[in-house]
Amino acid sequence: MINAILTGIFNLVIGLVNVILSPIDTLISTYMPSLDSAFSMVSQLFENSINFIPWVISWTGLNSTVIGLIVSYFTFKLTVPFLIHTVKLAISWYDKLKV
Amino acid sequence: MKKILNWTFGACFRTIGRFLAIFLVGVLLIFIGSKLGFKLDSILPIKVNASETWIGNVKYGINSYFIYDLKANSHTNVDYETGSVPRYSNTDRVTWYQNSSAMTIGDNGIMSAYNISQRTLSGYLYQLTFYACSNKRIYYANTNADIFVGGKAGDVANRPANSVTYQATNITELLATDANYCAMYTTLFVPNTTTNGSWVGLRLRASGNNISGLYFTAFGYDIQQLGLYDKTIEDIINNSGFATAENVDQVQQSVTQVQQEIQQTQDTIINEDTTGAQSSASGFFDNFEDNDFGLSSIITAPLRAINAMLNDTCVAPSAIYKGQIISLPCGNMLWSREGGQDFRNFLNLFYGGFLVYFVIRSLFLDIEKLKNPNNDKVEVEKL
Repeated sequence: MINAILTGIFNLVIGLVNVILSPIDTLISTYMPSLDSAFSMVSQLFENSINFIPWVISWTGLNSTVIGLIVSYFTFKLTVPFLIHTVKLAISWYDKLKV
Repeated sequence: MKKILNWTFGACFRTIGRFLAIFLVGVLLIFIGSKLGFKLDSILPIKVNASETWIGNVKYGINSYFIYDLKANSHTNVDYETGSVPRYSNTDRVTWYQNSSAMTIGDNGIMSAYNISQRTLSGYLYQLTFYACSNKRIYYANTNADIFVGGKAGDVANRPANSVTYQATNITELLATDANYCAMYTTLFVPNTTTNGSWVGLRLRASGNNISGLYFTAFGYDIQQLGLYDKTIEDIINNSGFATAENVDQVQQSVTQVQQEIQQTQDTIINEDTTGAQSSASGFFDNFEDNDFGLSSIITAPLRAINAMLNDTCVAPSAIYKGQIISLPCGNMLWSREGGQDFRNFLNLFYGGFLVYFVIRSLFLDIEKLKNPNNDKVEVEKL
């Protein structure tokens, strides 16, 4: 369940980033094909590295529940304080504007 | 925001770098270990080991076999005694002889079965090739060799009580005079049990015809261990091995298709009417979609890495080095061993306990900090 929710969120963010960056990507691939090739090579390196992650995890012996717990924790840890800080910032702006 | 972005990219590259460094160190250790001659079969890269065993050269190759009278639907079981006596000689009974007027390859179509004393290991991929010769060409459908691992092929629970008379045949004479028709049967198998794993039962099966006066002999077998089971390796072998009738048919269809396409291309080149090309040129970019951009892919790499961590299952990395397939086995080979699963459960409990402790502790500290109205710093983890 946790894995499914996290996967859905990540896929959503990946999709959004792809949509947002697609004009820039198109510009780069059209007018700077060499830079686009370089990006593609770096991307390919990442892709190959990512393929090794399940292999490394299989040797650590961690099961999906523990991995889900780790990822959930860091997701929570990095997003919730940021959201709260944003809300606090918005409230402080509101207070200043109100005055 | 800048701090968060710095952290995100920095942590991502640091983590990937650490993974790569650990991986390189692991590969180096494995390489040094293999050079020093360590044989840790679940850790070292698996080299394809080939072992060829011919019945004629093996004293203890076939431990027992049984023969079928297919017409009477009965069989005789022949067990060799264990000991130091060579089991193969010209008069040994490794040849099956049917002297009845007509043999019906019947319902089950089992012709012969053998127990081969060949050590096999659970989770490894083996290729077994079996060679058999006969004095007549046997036309039958669905010929195949069944492989039983973990038990004797002769251990049939409902073995018929009646048996036929067995006639030993001089193999040398048979091979010299009659056994002109030889066949090779090959199969891939993965033993899924360690119980009695040293036994390989081989059963040759055929159906669909009648034949008389048949001499049939098991000529030899060859078992190759192809390393730890890996679907990729199995596919490679299946795709690059002997062509089957289906493969040949597919190739012929592909050739025909290519010939037709070449003909169509030639017709198009010769055709001077370009109106169709002009009208379709404007639609060139229709349905054009490509999400495989470099920049997006780099930026989303951390998320895809986490996704892979959550969802992907291990696929053993393999590479071809000097003509040999070298594969780094997945960790499941270690954990699936006896006691490994229990240790893994304990390990996960250990990890989980620590994690839960640190999560609760961290949440408590976070809440304490958030409660402070003067503190507007964003807490950032340093991985």
